[in-house]
Order: sequence, then C-alpha cells, then structure tokens
Amino acid sequence: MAAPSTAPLAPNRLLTRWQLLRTSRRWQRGLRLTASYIVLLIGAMFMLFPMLWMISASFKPGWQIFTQPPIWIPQHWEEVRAGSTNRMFPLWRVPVDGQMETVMELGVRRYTTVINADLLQQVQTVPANALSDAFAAAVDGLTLNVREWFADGETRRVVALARGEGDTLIVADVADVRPAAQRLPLDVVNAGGRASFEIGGISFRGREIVTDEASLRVIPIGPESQLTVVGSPEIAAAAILVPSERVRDAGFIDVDKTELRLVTVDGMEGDFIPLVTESWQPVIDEEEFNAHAFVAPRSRLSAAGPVQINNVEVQGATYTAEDGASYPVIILISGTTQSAVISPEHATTLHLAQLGGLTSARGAQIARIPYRVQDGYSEGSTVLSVALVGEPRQMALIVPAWVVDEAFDVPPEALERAMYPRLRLDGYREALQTKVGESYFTTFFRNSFVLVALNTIGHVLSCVVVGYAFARLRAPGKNFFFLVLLSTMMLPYPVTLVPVYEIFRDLGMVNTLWPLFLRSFFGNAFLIFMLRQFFTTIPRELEEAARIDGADTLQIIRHVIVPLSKPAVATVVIFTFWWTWNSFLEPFIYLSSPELFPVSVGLNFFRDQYGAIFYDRLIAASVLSMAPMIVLFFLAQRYFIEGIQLTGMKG
Amino acid sequence: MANLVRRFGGSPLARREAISFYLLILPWLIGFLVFLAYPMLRSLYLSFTSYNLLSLPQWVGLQNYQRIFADADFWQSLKVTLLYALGSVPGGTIIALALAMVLSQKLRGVNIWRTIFFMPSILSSIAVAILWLYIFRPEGGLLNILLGWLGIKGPDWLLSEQWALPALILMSWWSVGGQIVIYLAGLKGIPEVLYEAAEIDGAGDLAKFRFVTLPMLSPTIFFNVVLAIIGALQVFDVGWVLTRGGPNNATLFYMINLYRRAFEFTQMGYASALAWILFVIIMGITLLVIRSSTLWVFYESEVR
Repeated sequence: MAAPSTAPLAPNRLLTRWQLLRTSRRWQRGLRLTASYIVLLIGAMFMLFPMLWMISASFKPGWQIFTQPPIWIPQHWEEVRAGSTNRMFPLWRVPVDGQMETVMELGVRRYTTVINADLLQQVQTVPANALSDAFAAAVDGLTLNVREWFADGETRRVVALARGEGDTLIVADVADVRPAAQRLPLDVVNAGGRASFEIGGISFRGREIVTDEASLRVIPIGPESQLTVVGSPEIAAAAILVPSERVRDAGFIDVDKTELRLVTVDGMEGDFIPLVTESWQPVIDEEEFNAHAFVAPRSRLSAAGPVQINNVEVQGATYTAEDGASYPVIILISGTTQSAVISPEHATTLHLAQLGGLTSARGAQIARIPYRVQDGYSEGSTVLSVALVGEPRQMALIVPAWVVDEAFDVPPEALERAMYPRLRLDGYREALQTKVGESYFTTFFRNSFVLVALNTIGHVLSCVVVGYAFARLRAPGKNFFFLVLLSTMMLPYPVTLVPVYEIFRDLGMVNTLWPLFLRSFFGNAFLIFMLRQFFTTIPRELEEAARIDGADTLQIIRHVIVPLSKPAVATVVIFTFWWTWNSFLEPFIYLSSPELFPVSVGLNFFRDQYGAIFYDRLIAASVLSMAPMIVLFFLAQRYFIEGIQLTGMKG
Repeated sequence: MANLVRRFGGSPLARREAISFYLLILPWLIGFLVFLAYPMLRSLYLSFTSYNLLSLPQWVGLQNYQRIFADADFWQSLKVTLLYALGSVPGGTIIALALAMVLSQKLRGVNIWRTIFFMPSILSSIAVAILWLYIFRPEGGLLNILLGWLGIKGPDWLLSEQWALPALILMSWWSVGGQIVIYLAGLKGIPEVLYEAAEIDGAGDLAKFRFVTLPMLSPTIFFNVVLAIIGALQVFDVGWVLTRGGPNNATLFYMINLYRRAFEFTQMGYASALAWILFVIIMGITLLVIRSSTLWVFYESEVR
C-alpha cells in the first residue's frame, strides 16, 4: 500500500504515485493475471465454441443449422400434419387484437389499390417530363405510388391515374386521392366488368364491380401487394390428397374476413378449398417390396383398370400363374417386357410420400428391372428405406370448404414462426436408424468395440511381457534391440503400408477385421517403452522374494509386476482404446463391406451418402461417435495426461 | 561372436536369464521382423518394380522414380504437404507454448483449463473433420458468421483454391492440446531456483523467458517439433474427409496422392517409390532439425 497522505496531491506527486503504482508488484501481478485470463479465455473459446456449436446443432432439425442469422439454441417449430399424409404444415404466430394467435397458411391473396371514381373530382393533365419518378409512400396506412410535380415554384405530391394524350400523365393530388383510394383483392377487381367513365372532363377506363348492395366504379392504380391468408391449424387434419387433374376451379368463397379459392373435385361431393399442389412420390417399404413383389412377364398380365390402394392410384392387373391359377395384382414398376407386381393385400405400406429434399436415392434392381430406393426416409417416429415405385404425380391437398370457418389476411412480414426452444432427439434417433450401405450405425459401434477389446488384449499381453524383459532381464544384445525398439517409434508408417497390405492379402485377411487387431499381439513400441519405464521403478526385492518361492518369470509378471503396475496397464488400455477408436486409414484400406466398418470409416461413409441432405443426422452421428472417447477422457484424464507427457518428454 | 558365446556360456543363471529375455521379447521381435523390417525392404524392392498385386512384380529399374519426378501431381502434393507442415507446426507450437506458459502460472482452475484445451485433441479426426466441414461452410458456417460480426466477408474456405489449405492449417491448431499438456509438464519441471536466481540478477519477465524458460524447455520443444513435422508430413484423414485433395488439387496431401496410386490405381510399385521418397524426406528433415538443434537446444549435460 502507498503511504497514507491527506495533503492535496500536487501534479508531480500524482505522477510519482502513478509511477509507484505502475511498478508495484501488486499492480504488475494484477495486470499479468488479467492478461493471462484473457489469453486463456480466447484460447478456450477457440477450443470450446466449435464443440458447443456442434452439440447444439445435433439437437436441431436440419434446416436450422445454417440459418442466417444463426439460431443458437435448438428450436422446435410447431407443425401440423395434413390429414393422414407425411406432409407437415409449419405454424405461424400473428398478432390479432393484441394477442398472439397460432395459425397455418391457407394461401395467398393479391391486392391492388383502386380509386373510387365517384369520390374523385380533381384531375389534371401534366407533361410526363414535369414529374419525378414514382416512389412508394405510405399515406394514412395505404401505400401509393407518389410522384413529385414541380410547378409554379412549388413541389406538389401527386398520383398518376392514367396515361393521357401524347407524352402526358393524368394525375391527382395525393390529398384528393387518399379519401377515394382503397385496397381491393386483385381477383375481385379483375372479375369486374370493363367500364369507362369521366372525371373532370377526362375519360378513364376502369372496372365496374357489382356487388349485392351496390356497384362500384374503380380505377386500379396499384401498387399490388400480396397478403397471406391464414386460418386455424385444425384445418390441416381434414386435408385430403387428390390427383391435381381431378381438381376444377369453382370461383371464390367468402370466408370470415377474406376470400378463398374454391374447387370441385371430379367424383367427390361438395366444394373444397385447395391448400397446395405438389409432386408426390408413390413409395413402398423396401422390406415389404423385397418380401412380396415379384416379376411377371407382360404376357401373363392382363390389364384390370386402375386400383386405389391407400389413396394411391395404381394400375391393376390379373396375373395368371404357370399352374393356371389367376389372381389380382397391382403393377409397381412396369418394364418393357416384364413388370414388378405385388398382390394388393401385400401392398400395405404403399403410399404417397413427400420426399422433400431427399435426393440420395440409390439404385436397386429386381430381376433386371431397375428402381430406386431412398434410405433414411422418415415418417413420424419411424425411419425406413422405401422403394420408389412409379412416377411422381401432381397431387393437390384440399380441405372441405365447410371446415374453414375462420380465416383472415396478414402481411407476410407480420407472420412469425411458431417456435420455442426444445432439444430435439430425432437427429440421434434417425442417425441410428438410417441404413448406411445395408448396415446401421449400431453395427459400426459394435465393430469398433470388438476391435478395441481385441487390441487391448493383444497389447496388454504382449507389451507387458516385452516391457518386463527390457526392464529387468540381462542379456547380450539387449541394448541393441532396445535401440531398435526406440527407433521404430518414429518410423513413418507409409513405408510399410503396401507390403503389409500384401501380407494380409496373401493371408486372405483383406475385408476381415484381422489386419486391424492381429499386429497388436506383437506389441507396440511406444507402449513397451512406457511399460519398461514404469517397471524399472518397481523395487527388485519384491521379485526376489517370489523367485525364492519358486515362481518363474511369467508367474512373477502375472502375480507381482502386473498388480503393482495398474496405472501403467490402465494407460496401455486407454491408449489402445484411443488409437483403435480413431484409426481411419487402415480400416479404410482393408475393409470394403460396410457391415465390418468401425465408427470412423462408417462416419465417413455416412457423410459421403448423406452429408448434403441430413445435416442433423450427420452431426448427431459425429457427436455419438465422439461420445465414448469423451466419456473415457473424463473417467481417465489422468492416464491420458501422463501417457501424453511420456510421449513428449524425451529429449 | 566369440564374445557372445562366452557371455551366453557364462553362469547357468545368466544363460537362463538371457534365454528368458529372448523368449519374452519374441512376440515383439517376430512382429518387428514380419510387419516392419521385411515390409520396409519389400517396399524398397517394389519401388523398382511395376506391380498391380495380381501378377508378379516386374523389375523396371528407376522408371517409377523417373515417372514420379516428372509427375505434376507429385510436386503439387509435395508443395501442399510442406506448406501444411510449415503452417501447422510453427503455429501450433507457438499456440501450445503460449497457452502452456499462461497455464503454468498459479492460476485458478488449471485442471479445468487444461481439460478444455486437451479435449479436442483426443477426438477422432473424422468426427473433427466433419465438425469443421460445417464450420467452414461459406453460407451459415460458424466461422463466416463470426467474421461477419467483425464486418469481414469470409471466403469460401474449403471450396476455394486459395483458402482450402489455410483452413486445414487453422483446423490443425484446434488439436494442439497434447502439446499443451507436454509443455505444461516441461515447465513444471524447471527448478524454481533458476527463476529466483534470474530475479536476483534483475531479470524481467521477458529476460526470464528468454534466458531460463526457453533454454530449459528447448529439448522438449525440439522433440515435439520433430514429432509434429513427421505427423504433418503424413497427414491423410482430414484432407480425405474434407476436400479429397481438392479443389483443383489445392489440398492434395502427399498421403492422398500415395493412397490413390496404391489403392485406387493399384500401382503398388509406384506407390512404394512414393513411400520411400517420403521416408527419405522425413528422415532428411528430421536429421536437419537434429543437426540444427545444437544451435538452439540446450542440454543440461553440456554444462556439467
């Protein structure tokens, strides 16, 4: 502490105190500590931020991972299912009378601004070059295309109504236009008959809209705007999927505060409101397809007209078997001379699906007829592989008109996603259920654990024995071999890559797990060295006692050395786990069957297949693949650190 | 030889011990001969042959080497790999050393900090690569979002010829945790007396670092730099998962080139020659570092 002083501080005294302070140990220590923590924080951010981002992303749906601006905390976007299909409608929140209401989108409605011809008297003809360009301006809550007119030394704001003779425009003052202007649905305006009328001696062409009460003469002036028609989310449950070619336009219907398009459907009673028209793909569970579909020559099939199965219209046929029996089938994939067919009662999983962004279908064949299979197709809580049968078709989702009793328009910008924070586990579930080359992630985990177990056994057995020999036994040539052992620790592995592959090829072990664990039974230079260092610290007397009791060397290792070397043996186990779990190049080279892949290669395979479509699943799979290492790390951090220090502390 | 026989024929006890020694190291010795010594010689032989694994190797003399030195892919891969080592090794060493220096002070929660820094380095390179693949995404990737906050429009990283290699180097710095742990242990091993003596001599922080820390730690630094160089020259996983050597060979690591030759084109002779060239390069660089080490590595034994 500086000396206590009550005297007022002269400037030079102040300086000295500052200097004192600056050179004081406390100040310097504080400064250094602050700087240290800043450096540590920056470093920790660099290390932690990607990890945290990844963990957060693994709980998000795919679309949320790369949004801009980013969504940091996983959100759940409420959605409703359309009828019994796999199409989901996202929900929105919109303020209604000061309260937030959750709604779904029913359609869009275009509006234009019109002028009621009966309410406007003052118009003028102005040369176009006296006017500025039009710009959108809000006037009392209504957007108008306003122009500026320089005349008589003043600037007036006007709205152009029509083109006049020559290069002139017919304009009216904004103040006069506003009371006469209103916004009307574009379809209402366009439905009105053409009409011409005069205002202030100038003739205009406009529209005459006749309603029950009155007729309205309007001049459309724009701008046009688009509003979203929204309604209660419950509507979605009533949705029906129909082929779009059966849908007929039937005008409009007034609903609540807005108007919606109306359609009729061939072969169905009543009016409907269309929600959306999209391409839908007929799919069937691959397992059902493989189990029951068969190939029939065209000659044994006779057409039997279209059949509806689970709302999918498919071609029916009668199949006559070789024994003369005939029964009905449906055609799933038609080829030139033969078709893949299935009996209707076995087509239980045939349905129309919205494949969305899925574009990673793999090719498959049934008796030379090619078709495509989409793995990882998810519907609700199940993930399966589906065969794509037949061409996609345009389908319309419609709801009966009477279901929609409440609907209103909102500007699109007023809609807010109906989201709330929630950790989503679907990414993990789906990652585990997604078929990766006829295998699943769980298989990769099993393979990795099998390899870890075998390598651990191999390393412990071999390295303990060899390490003991180098630590304790005396023999001519020992130093030479120890030197050889040390030098192999730094040997670049690429040199032996090809011949070792050759050896395992000659042993018939390519595409088996053997090459990935066999060598651990022959020791590992680093682990041998580590164990040897540890064994030399064990007092010899303990062995001597056992030897006098008649124990041989293996017994001594088993009953004296190993029990005393638990930390070192633990390090061997942990390092083996670590290396095996993370090893990539060797399994990548030796294995070609996905059912043998360890996690590292399986993950790479998963990325190749789905990296571009299932972001959420790939990230979840990555997190899962890291999980055992992270758990092991926290359980045994000490051994990691001691082992690592040993690798790097020579010199 | 006679010496050996005499020593083997010494006391029966010594002879038994020697026999036990060789019996016990037999697993390692067999492994060494079968999976290391023989393959090394075999690959040297194969490097002078044309060999596709199916028919017998055909002796072609130096032809593989001639073709390699005339191959643009080889020179590109060598350039890329050396640049990668040049970026990742010094950068990683400086980062690791700086963080270890900071951590070696008596700070709160050293273990927590150490855990944070160490953890990324134990993770599988494939999972880490996938993580960074998404971080480097030009649109919506974490890195470009952060750069956007600073008002910088980030490049296309892995998709850009110019930025793909720097991206991989940046990524390699994420895994320096192992080195931090090693340097931290090394720093703890420096006797406190040396610092006290330096302080009495009036040394400031910088002088203490320059004249105490650095010389005392230099053997450790040296050893880890050598290991890091060897590791960097043999990198494969991250390049394979992230870029497959692209775009336009901008990240064609030596091992990717070698892997392709060996296991995609099954040119085993050519690949063996590549492996031997890499072996020579690695040995050369290591020797160079070791020779230069006398200039900057301080061994206590020299003083005594």
